[in-house]
Amino acid sequence: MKLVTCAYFRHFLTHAFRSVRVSQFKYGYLSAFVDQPYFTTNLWATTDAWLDATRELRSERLASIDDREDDPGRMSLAAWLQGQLALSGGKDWNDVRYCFATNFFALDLNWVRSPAYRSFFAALENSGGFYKYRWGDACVQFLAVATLLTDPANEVLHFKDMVPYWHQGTVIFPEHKGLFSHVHF
Amino acid sequence: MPKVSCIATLALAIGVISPLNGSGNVLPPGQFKEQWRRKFDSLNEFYITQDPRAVEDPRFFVELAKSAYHCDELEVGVAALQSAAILDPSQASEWVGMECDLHFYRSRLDGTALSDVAQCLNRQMELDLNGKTTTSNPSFWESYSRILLDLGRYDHGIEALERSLQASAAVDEGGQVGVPHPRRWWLLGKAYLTADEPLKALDVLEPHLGVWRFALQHSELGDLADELPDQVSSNATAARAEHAIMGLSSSLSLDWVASAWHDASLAHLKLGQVSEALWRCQVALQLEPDHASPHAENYHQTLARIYVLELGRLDLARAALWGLAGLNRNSVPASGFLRRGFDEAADHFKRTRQGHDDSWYGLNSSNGMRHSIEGSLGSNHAPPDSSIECHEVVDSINKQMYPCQISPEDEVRLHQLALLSADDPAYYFTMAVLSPCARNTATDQCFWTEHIRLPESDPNWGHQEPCFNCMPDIDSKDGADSSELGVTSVHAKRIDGLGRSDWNSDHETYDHETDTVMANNERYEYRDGGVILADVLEAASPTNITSTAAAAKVVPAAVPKAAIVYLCCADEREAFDLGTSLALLRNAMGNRWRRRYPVSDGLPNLLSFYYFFSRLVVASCTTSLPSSFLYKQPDRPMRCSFSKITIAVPLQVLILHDFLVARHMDALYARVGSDLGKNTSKSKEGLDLRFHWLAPHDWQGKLPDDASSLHFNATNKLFGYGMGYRHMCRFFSGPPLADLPVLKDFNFVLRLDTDSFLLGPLQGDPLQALSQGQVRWCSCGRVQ
Repeated sequence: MKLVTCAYFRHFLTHAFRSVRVSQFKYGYLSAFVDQPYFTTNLWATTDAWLDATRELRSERLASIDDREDDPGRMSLAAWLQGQLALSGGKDWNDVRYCFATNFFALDLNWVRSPAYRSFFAALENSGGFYKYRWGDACVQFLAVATLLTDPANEVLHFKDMVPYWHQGTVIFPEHKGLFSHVHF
Repeated sequence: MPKVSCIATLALAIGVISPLNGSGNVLPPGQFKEQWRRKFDSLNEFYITQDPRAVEDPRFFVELAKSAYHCDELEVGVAALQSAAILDPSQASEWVGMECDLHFYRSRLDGTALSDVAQCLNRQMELDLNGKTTTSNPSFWESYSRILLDLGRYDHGIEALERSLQASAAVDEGGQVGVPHPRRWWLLGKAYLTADEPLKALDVLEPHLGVWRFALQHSELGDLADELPDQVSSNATAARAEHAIMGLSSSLSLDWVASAWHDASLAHLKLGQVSEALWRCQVALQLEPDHASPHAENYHQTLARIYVLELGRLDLARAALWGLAGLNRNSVPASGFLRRGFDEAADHFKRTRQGHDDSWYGLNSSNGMRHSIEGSLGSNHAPPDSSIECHEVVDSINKQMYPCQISPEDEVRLHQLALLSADDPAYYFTMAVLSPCARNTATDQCFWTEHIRLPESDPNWGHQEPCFNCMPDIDSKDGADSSELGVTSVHAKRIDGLGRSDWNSDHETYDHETDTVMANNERYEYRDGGVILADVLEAASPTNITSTAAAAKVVPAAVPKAAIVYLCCADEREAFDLGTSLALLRNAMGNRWRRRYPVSDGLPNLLSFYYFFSRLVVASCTTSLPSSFLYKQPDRPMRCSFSKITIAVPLQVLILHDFLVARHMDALYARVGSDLGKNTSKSKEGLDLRFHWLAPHDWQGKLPDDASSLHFNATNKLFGYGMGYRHMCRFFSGPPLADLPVLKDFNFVLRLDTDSFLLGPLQGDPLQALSQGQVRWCSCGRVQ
């Protein structure tokens, strides 16, 4: 097998051939935001309780994070979240309230149909929070990714630079890439 | 007894400077936890143990509430103030007022507390017998209305605002006897808009807009009425007289005036009065042009909505939105965005005015655009009409009933005119957008456009090609277009429709290093196919191997079973938005959508490289490849072509809805060229739209049991969000969507909102990128 010499391909192929797994992305997003506290009331508490109730799943998740200690570039979203919390001085997701903007998302339906995802959704559904507090699908999807996916580097895809897009206050012009007439960002 | 002192202290924190009244800067609760924790614990201990020395003294409870506030123990504070009010009814009104503040703070963390705030305010009003702090206080009514509007009780909210106007006049809040503060008119108009009553909103707002703008600009009372349409100016004249007597002064805070103009614009937009909406939005931007102001972001959005939704002008919409895209970047100055956006648009036209042909800059106005401007634009895909004469435009404007309200047609013509010949088109754009009086602008700009010509080349534009110049020809009839090959804008110009010419030189100039981090686009490039091919050939050596032999060793990735889904619609407006969203989707996909999922097996001489928007791009390699190809040497031409396209399974766009009827669907089919969904040859030219009716049980969950939830009231909105929205949130949270029978054969979905608008050709296929996966991508080309 011959690998081409340019850095670009080396980047990809190194990753590809180092992994024995053939995986698909489970979730793709375009942008993310921080939601209002009053739309996330009890959402993290419910998620946390569900994690406690499914300890097996949680330990599996944490173990998978530990496995990748030698490769910080492939840190999981859960681990990344921990880092964000450390930076912000927060103690849990409530303190950051990150959510994926779900006016544009793509997902693997089979992941959503998996028992683990169903278990998570059922816990949220049973709490009534969708209706009592208007939990957004944006935050639920973020938490699903953060808690259910163990290998976000290969399972979560950011459609950055792919979609020229406008939804309300979100505007993305990827084709510009910093090319301006007068201003270079 | 020194009762007063502790009340006064507490009032300072949560009473007099009330968060509900929105006056002053109130520190949120919990800011002084450390200082107050000991006191709170101590007082709370008295309360928990029901110490008789404490629990019979209202002052104790007020003190407890105070410490609870500072320690962010709001529930305790509420209970304490309720106890105090019972113990001393003479003070109850004031203490209930403080309790309302605490409920308000609770509602910032828990929306279900909104109804507590409303109930509390109602109680406060009942207890305040002389109305000193409630019914005669305009700020009280404003607070009350805010909560009621958040709860969706629009009638009561509007009534409260009307009471605030009365109270405001009674206390001479506007600066003179009997005159309310003008801001309260705006709040009332805004509330009507929220309640979806645009006509009433305009009844309230329009008589005042001119005067408010004047007052904000600190100009002399001049020829104001001339700038207003007749139906407004008579009212404005009366209002001006009234306000002149009143003496609207700079001492009144008028930072809301731009928002009032913008709200009037939105009201006109709801009524389909585009010209009026456009003008008012421009005035709002004139008053608050920069994002540094908190609301200007909305004005830019509204301007873009008018341009793209009503006028079909994506180029102007992109220009208007340019600043918002900048907002998403780091270290971007928060001013001048509007100008820069139009600067870009101007630059594009300036560079492409010779033989410009780009269907991006004008949605097909015959496809259901509410206000067709095709006549004034000429052919929809034609370049700007250089035959427009400046004086014609000015004459046309002067003939209008309201010369300051430029018509959409003239707006576009003026823009084109300036773009074609102005020395600095960006200057024209900025003026055209910001100027409240198009007549003067047109005259001024005509001078510029007629007397100053563009230089041949302008070094100020920089040596790099701006993006507008690089939009690929999305309607190329044969083969892959350049964007499908993932080339960046820098390359697009030098690559032909099949991505073949100059390939090697492009490769040489391409900066791999900068795009390695997020290189999903590039996986679609021919080069990537090349490297896979190289691997195949290398492995299948000896030399002079044919592609047929290589093809047998390539395992193509599975075809993703994917669909794009929309959920529609809450109202007619969303249905209209959906049409534009679909039209843009169709544009973004171009003729990729007319090609379908591939069948690649069994075809000789084919190597599969990748799928792109429901299509397999295949290379037909008719000659043996030089081994040098493996190393991408720039001096060796590529011998493969990308001409073979096979078609199989359609990629669906599913419209899940419980709203649309036949006329909507006919209009939507027409917008995307699907020929009313009939399976004719023509239908292949458009999107494969499928409509799927959702019954309530398909997308709505079970509401919580009222009995088990004290605060849950299904009739209340939550900060304006009703139950339909909450059903939608649950639906898109996972299984309810994935379990829809209509999706059972699909593995992947891409969700778009009805107001998701694709502003240009996609740089990659999101569904393909998702389904193929980072690892799978490489494995698909590996030799087995």
